[in-house]
Amino acid sequence: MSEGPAFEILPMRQDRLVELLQLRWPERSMLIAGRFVGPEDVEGIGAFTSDRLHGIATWLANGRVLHIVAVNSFTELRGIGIALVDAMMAEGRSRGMTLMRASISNDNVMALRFYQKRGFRLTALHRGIYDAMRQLRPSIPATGVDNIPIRDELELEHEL
Amino acid sequence: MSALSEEGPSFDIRPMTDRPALEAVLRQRWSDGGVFVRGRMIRPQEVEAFGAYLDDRLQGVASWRVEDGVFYMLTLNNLTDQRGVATALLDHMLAVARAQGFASMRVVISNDNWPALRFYQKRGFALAELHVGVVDVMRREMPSIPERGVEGIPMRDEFELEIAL
Repeated sequence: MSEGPAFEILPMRQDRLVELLQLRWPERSMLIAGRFVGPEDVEGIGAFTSDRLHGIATWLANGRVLHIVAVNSFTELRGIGIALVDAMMAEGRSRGMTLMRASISNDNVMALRFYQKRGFRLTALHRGIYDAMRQLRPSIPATGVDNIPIRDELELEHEL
Repeated sequence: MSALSEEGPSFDIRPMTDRPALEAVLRQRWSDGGVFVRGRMIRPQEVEAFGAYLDDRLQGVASWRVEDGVFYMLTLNNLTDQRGVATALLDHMLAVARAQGFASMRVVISNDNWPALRFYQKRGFALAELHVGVVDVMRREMPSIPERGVEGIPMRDEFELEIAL
């Protein structure tokens, strides 16, 4: 199990979330399951230690599906992502949701690794979806991690 | 390790004619199973391979087969700690496929193998297909196929990646 520090996981106020996310999604170009998602569309939680924010996790509540938008770490502390995903799972369960879904781009192999190690399984490859969306939003970058072209979306799921 | 240039040493790459040695490598790699390609399991005895040699010692193996008119590289293994083996073998396989007139080459990897997903995408391959659950299906016939792969991640699915030649 995780041996990182214990984070306090707290809900994020909407205005604070919007402020943090606007820096990361300058043109609201976050693409989730074929749809553009903006900071005001999401809910979020933060991982705090002694009043410092170490990371946030954001999601869209879509009926019984908790669709993860992003898990972001702001510091180098270990275990931030795990603590946030575990807290999202608990939140989804407490609301009677049955499925957690994550969408990642093809270049992001570290996210593929992370989610699969947390028990998510691959359910779909949406080939070329980023190329198609880039025609609508040219601000979507052409390349991502390690300069790998961003083309496809991989979907992973975890039962709640 | 001896001092090497950035590009690594120059390997002698040639077809592997020692079938028992080749099949031993593949049986170990595939845990006595195979790789599932276009609806069927490919077994070690059905593939051809190139070996990369240094001073006549085998450093790595790349295996391939044409299935349904598609050129597949089925395995790519560094058998030692020698750097550059995989890249040299991959470059060779690309040249072989091109020389045979193929317009593209595909590789197959399992879902746990994120280092390979990064390796191939950094070298110009793009995801072509995800076959959800095919490793689970193969395991029913071949219980020797392990449940877990890289870092304990459950092995269930296969990715196919493709590069234009």
